Amino acid sequence: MSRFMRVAAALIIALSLCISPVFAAADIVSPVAGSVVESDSLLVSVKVTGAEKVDITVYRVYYESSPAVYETTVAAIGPSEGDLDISSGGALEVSGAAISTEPALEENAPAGGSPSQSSSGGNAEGEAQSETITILVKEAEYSPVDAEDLTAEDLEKIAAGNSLDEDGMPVTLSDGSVMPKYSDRVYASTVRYTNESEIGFYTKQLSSVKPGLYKVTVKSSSGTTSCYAAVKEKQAEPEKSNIFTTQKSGALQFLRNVLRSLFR
Amino acid sequence: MAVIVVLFMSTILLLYLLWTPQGGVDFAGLIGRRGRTASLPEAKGLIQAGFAVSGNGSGSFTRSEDTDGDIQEAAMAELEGFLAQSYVESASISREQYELAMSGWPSVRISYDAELPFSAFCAICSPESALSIRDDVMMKTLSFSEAAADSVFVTDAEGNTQRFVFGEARDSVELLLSQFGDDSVPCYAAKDLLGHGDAMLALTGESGLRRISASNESADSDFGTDAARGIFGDTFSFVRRMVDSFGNITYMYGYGDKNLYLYTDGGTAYSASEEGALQTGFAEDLDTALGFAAVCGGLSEDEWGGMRLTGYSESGSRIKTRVFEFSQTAGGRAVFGAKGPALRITVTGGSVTELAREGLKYSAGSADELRQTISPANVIANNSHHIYNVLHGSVLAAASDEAFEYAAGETESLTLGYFADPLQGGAELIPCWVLRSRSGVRFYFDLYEGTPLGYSD
Repeated sequence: MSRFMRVAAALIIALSLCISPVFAAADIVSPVAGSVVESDSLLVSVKVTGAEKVDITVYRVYYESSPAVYETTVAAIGPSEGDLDISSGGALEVSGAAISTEPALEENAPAGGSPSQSSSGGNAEGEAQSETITILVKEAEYSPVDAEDLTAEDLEKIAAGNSLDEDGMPVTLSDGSVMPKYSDRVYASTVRYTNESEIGFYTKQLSSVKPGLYKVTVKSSSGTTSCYAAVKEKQAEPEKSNIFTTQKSGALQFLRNVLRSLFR
Repeated sequence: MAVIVVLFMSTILLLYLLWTPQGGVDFAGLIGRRGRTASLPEAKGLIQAGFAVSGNGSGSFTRSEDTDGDIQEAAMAELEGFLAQSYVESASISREQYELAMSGWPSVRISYDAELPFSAFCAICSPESALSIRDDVMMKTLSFSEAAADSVFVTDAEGNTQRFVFGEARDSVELLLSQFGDDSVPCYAAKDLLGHGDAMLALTGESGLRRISASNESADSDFGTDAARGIFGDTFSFVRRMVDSFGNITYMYGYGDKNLYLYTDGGTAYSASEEGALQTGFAEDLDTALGFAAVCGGLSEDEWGGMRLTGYSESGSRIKTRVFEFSQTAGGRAVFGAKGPALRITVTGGSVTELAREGLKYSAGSADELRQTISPANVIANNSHHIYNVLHGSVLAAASDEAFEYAAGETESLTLGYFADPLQGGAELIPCWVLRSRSGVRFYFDLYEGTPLGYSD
């Protein structure tokens, strides 16, 4: 490479390093991460720094109230035992949608995925035997998280997403229960907000929000940001008399009342 | 012969009395028309809410601009009801106590453009009340809460709150909440929306406000003469009239004892070197100010349109100096210019010492179809550098976050209004967000685009 090309390349590299790239970012201002809201509405406020398009989604969080059930039924016909009917089954935990919910049925198997027996092939001595495996999967059931007993510390643990703690023990919540598995379902569909200035805000109020656990997720070019917020029923009002303390002593107040009544 | 002499002398006398400094005879003076119509607006109608916030007791708030004045009228009626009682005591409460009373129970708070003495406000609401209200309490916000149905809360511009406890409870909150109409929108504290600040900001906005053409009130050829006659009265004949090379007119009495200036840009100003020596109250000085403004250009509905008190300050101990600022209104919204409100009057010791006036004539007309405005959050965010530089007086650019946090913290209120953009012979009233800072500076931003239009002290 000629000397001129080397100098030009060095200058271009130096210039590129001098130009500070503008990093766009998005922060969730509201709800505050791990906040507990006693209201029937939820404020979503996202601060976007720099020219950026962000996608904002609100999820309602559900917990696994009933685990999935995985049953297998195996029917096989052996060479010396005649027709055999071997059923075996057990509850195996499954996760996600990796397991097909459609049982493998043979043509003469009853519909509905119930365990079935079938045989195929001949049962003459020496002939190869076949197996029919029926798989029955009962999906896990999820229920909305009851946020009534959730604390800010619980929300931190949920946000961390770890099922085991540092000692390898299951993470527990403040009420002593083991932290269940959670699943997010879209509560407010994704909204795309475009910011064209240095700082811009996306703000929206979700009204008539039922008590529960909610998650706000913001996807931007710099990554994904999420935060959890627990929405609870409004607690009982504090005693009105506890808000405003008595400003004057009883004796002084009595004297004031007497003077006031004299000059009324 | 005698008849001829008498007629001649009468003619000379009439010419002396009716001759105008401009030359010519003022026949209108024959029928006693001196100055403008002196019809005065009522003090009660001048004090209008900037905005009102209702709380449902569950942490949710809505906000109304109260353009029809229903909430303000109901609040004054409730205060009048309290003042009709025979007992009141007051105590200072903390900010936390006040916020809990406003958020934990159904509540209504009414925020005013001008900070007024609460005792003067009570006297306006209920002149016959026998209750003695402290003179040292200033009112920027008047609040009611079901946390204390026997009380009203008075907050000054610095955020200090006094609770006035009366003898009997009233259903004030329920009645006031019923006045919030369909124009109410959700609102939140700035710290919830932006992460910083205390102002109660509307979440979003829709508006049908449109631009309005206006002409200077002084474009009327008789305006200057009528104003001069009204101010100088019987001494008008001894007033000198001077016109400079730009066309600005000065009426001077004595050796500058009293001066009236009529500027070619439509502005009017008055100054008097002699101050009064009376110990006057708020109501007296307000009447004095209004009476003076009425003869200096008129304040009647057809001459001035609606008006409201948008600024007030006082100084002095025994002899008070009070400055009143009035804005014209269009569709219930205050109109501001680059110099602030249209009328500013200073009263010292019971006498007017200064007046600055720049009124406009316009027809508000009907509103357009509703469309989305720029949100208050983005008004502050998009213009934070502008706000920072103006308030700091700095030409150097601050870091974005520093400017934004400063602007959010300095915002006292954000309301709808009009900005009078000067044009030849008049102005164009542009719908705008009026951002008032804690230091009293007003910023004006286009209602739909959010671009800065100007600012005034």
